[in-house]
Amino acid sequence: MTAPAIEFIGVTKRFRTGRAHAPHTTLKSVVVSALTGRARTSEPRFEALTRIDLRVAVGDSLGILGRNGAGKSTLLRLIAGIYRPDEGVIRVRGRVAPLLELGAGFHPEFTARENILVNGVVLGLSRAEVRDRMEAILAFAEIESHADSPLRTWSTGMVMRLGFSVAIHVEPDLLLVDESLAVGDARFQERSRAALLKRVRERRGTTVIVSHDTAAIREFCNRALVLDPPEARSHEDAAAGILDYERSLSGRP
Amino acid sequence: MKAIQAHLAELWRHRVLIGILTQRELIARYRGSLLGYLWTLLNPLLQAAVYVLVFRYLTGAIRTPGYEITLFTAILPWAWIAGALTQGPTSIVHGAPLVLRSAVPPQVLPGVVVLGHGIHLVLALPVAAVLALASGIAPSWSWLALPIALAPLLVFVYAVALATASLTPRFRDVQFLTQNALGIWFLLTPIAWPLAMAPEWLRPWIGLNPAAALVLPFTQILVERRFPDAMLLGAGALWGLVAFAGTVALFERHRDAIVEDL
Repeated sequence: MTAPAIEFIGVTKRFRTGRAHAPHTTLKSVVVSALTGRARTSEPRFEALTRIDLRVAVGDSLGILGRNGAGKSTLLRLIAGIYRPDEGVIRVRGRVAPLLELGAGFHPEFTARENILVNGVVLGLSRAEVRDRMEAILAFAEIESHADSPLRTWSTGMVMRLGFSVAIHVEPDLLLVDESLAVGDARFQERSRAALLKRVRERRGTTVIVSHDTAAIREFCNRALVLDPPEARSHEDAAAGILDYERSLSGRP
Repeated sequence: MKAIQAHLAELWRHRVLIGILTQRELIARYRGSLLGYLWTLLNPLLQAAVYVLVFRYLTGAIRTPGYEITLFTAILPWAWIAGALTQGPTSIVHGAPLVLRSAVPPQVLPGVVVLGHGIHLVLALPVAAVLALASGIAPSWSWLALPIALAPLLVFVYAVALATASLTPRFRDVQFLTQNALGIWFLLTPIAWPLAMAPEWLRPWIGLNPAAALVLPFTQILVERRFPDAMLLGAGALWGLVAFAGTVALFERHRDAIVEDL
């Protein structure tokens, strides 16, 4: 058996909550309270994910289901290496392209070509690889005629199309998608759906999708993980995972 | 030590991204033209002109010959420190989408700020040389020693940018504090006033101010046409290494908190 693309062993992630995490902490206020001798209480910590075990084989497509706040985005960020676990071990193999936001790093003053270069490099390509894919990316997004105009002159839909087009053309070993499947008009949605489906069907790399849309999970995924804190249940079959997810929803008021 | 190695390796792995982001920053600043580049030089020139006007002509406080060119060659490297303290604090917070959604290591962002201002300094040095020639200073072999002054400054400026950038996600007032600190620090550093005017007992200790230790070698090389003082160079190198090692070690230890606070 080959090594899995993603492996989680007993992964726990906690976040700080409370005063220090409040949005308006200032250095000044901290210094003042330290000088006036107001003792710092130990910070309460909130457990976002508890002892998660997970194995995703190369070529698999995993759907992550769970209510708001169940830890779906945290899990995705742990896979991407943005967060590190407090306990447990995470192993991820290959080049990861986190598609947690379309067009991360896009700059409104720069043209499509310039933004494709930055975004492509951010997602792990070299300059030459971006150059090779440039025309295909522009063509897929259907924005060839705007290739050299600054992004600020574009419609939001066009920017999102470009973002999706870059992400799908990066062809990463591991693609992480955070509910950003539906962008652009109906025609573009159909095309982007088809592109993602092609990747999943042909098992070109591993894909992880977070979505509330059970229909999308059913369509794209062959496996599912249901986050129902403090539990996480892994299913070898996406349909079984969806059933479990729906049951967990109705089980609570 | 291992943390520092990993930190640098991560920067190196993202060198293409750093290059592209820096290029973008510079293009935005220069608007991609020679005129834009000259325009950015107006700021240090104007700053120097104001000090000359005030200290030489309005108050008559400073009569040192060559004050103008000494001032200008010190303002340029100082601007690197000032740039890091101005744009450094917000670099990680502004780049949060890249960190949180595209897994870009946070230190890349202050790295881009530092590199951008560093390139700006290197591009401004020829202008300083031209002004030096115009004020009657002949070219000198000592000018080749400039990299010796640039290297410790680079390391120090990176440490400053990284430290302030790491504090900002938690303490949103850092950028305002650094702005206040900048004005005070500038006046305490022998840039607008020649070191020769300071009390004699103070001069050997000036290296205790990192900005002085790192900026003065530039005027010694360019204007005084000599190899910089060994004491000063040593102090500058020490400041650079201590600030760098300390900041990187702290950054790596608190990295999770920095990212989670974004």
